[in-house]
Amino acid sequence: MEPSFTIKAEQFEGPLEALLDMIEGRKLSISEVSLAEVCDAYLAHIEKLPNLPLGETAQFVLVASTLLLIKSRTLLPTMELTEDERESVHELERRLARLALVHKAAKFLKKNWGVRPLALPKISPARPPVFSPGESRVDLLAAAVHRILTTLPKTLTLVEAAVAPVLALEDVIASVHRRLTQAIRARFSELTKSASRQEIIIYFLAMLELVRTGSASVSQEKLFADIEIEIENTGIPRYGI
Amino acid sequence: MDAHVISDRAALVQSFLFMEGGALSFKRLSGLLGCSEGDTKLAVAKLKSALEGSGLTLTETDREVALTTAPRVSPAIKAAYEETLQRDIGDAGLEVLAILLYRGPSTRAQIDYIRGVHTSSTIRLLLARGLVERAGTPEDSREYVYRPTAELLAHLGVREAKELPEYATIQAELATFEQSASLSSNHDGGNKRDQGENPAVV
Repeated sequence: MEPSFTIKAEQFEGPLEALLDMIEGRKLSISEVSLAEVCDAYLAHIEKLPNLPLGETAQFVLVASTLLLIKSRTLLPTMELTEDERESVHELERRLARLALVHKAAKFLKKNWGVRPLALPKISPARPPVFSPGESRVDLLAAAVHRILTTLPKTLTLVEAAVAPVLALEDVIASVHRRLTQAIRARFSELTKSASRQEIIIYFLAMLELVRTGSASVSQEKLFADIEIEIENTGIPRYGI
Repeated sequence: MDAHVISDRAALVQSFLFMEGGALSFKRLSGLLGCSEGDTKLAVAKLKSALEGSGLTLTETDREVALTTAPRVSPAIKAAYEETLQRDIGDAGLEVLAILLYRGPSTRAQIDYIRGVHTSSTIRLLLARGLVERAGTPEDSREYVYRPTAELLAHLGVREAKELPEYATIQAELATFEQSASLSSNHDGGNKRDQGENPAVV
């Protein structure tokens, strides 16, 4: 099996992953025997490494040194390992086994990735307030509505008054003239004693008309006083007032 | 504890989570409820069982909880929101997530050591996607510990890490490695060469 090495955009395969791929590719379990077996393939793999940062290269070399240790022991069974060497061999095995386990877990995650998601609420953006009152309560709102209601324009019903026919001006003129011919003079208040407001107006107009035509003359002592009305040209001699 | 009080708090938890839209930490939630974190967890458990059979459920990590759609409705949800849920993170990302989910909260150095390769760019991607979060560690202020978010669990369709496939076995096996590693050394950093000169372990 060709040891494959891939450069990904962000993440490259590290020494442990490369080693694990080689072991798993050969369907081996993680042991000193299998590690010794893939040692050559791993060294060949390092040869082909592109220029990596020094730290990364050091990691590859560190793993390679442990592999060489394992391999030399399988070739020289009499070789004694120091405590530290034994520990680094065990540590490499342990790390590989743990990574294999992580790979397994990652596969489960991949299988479940977004397959049956539980969705969190979509947060709806708050509506931009057009105007935010300092305090908004239902009772305040109700009061405001009432205030608005009172200021609304009302449909006003025009007061309809049936215009009663009052008096014909000509008739009043004639009647006033007649009275004056008999009484010579009269007070406006007497003429309109039992008249309604509208009739008073008509009497007033009639009086003005009589004055205009010269049939009568009027006098008023002072403002708002009663008006005295007197017939003119009656042919009756006048002896002073 | 009065059952009434727990029910009331469960109702509050639901409202706060609805209002928040995203995950809330148990710490923040207990602040909002005005009770201990232990009581908050009781209320969360109560709400979770109350939501049983509805279209919603609670998805939680050790640290936070979120209101999410229930597993039973996920096919419909997925069909309706296919595009927005599409987020591929690659095998490297999946491995880091596997470590955080099955092993537990880990520092970058620990993740790097397990994978045997530098992981910073992958972690950055996962952070940016909101799939993991980081927090300071009490032991070392220079180091961050990374852990899964409720969003990550939701994306995987599980309500707790425990519901992940083979969680118990894989977690136990990983824990065994940690133990054997700490038996042989007190340092997970890989370089054992200068251990002899460093009598740090008493």
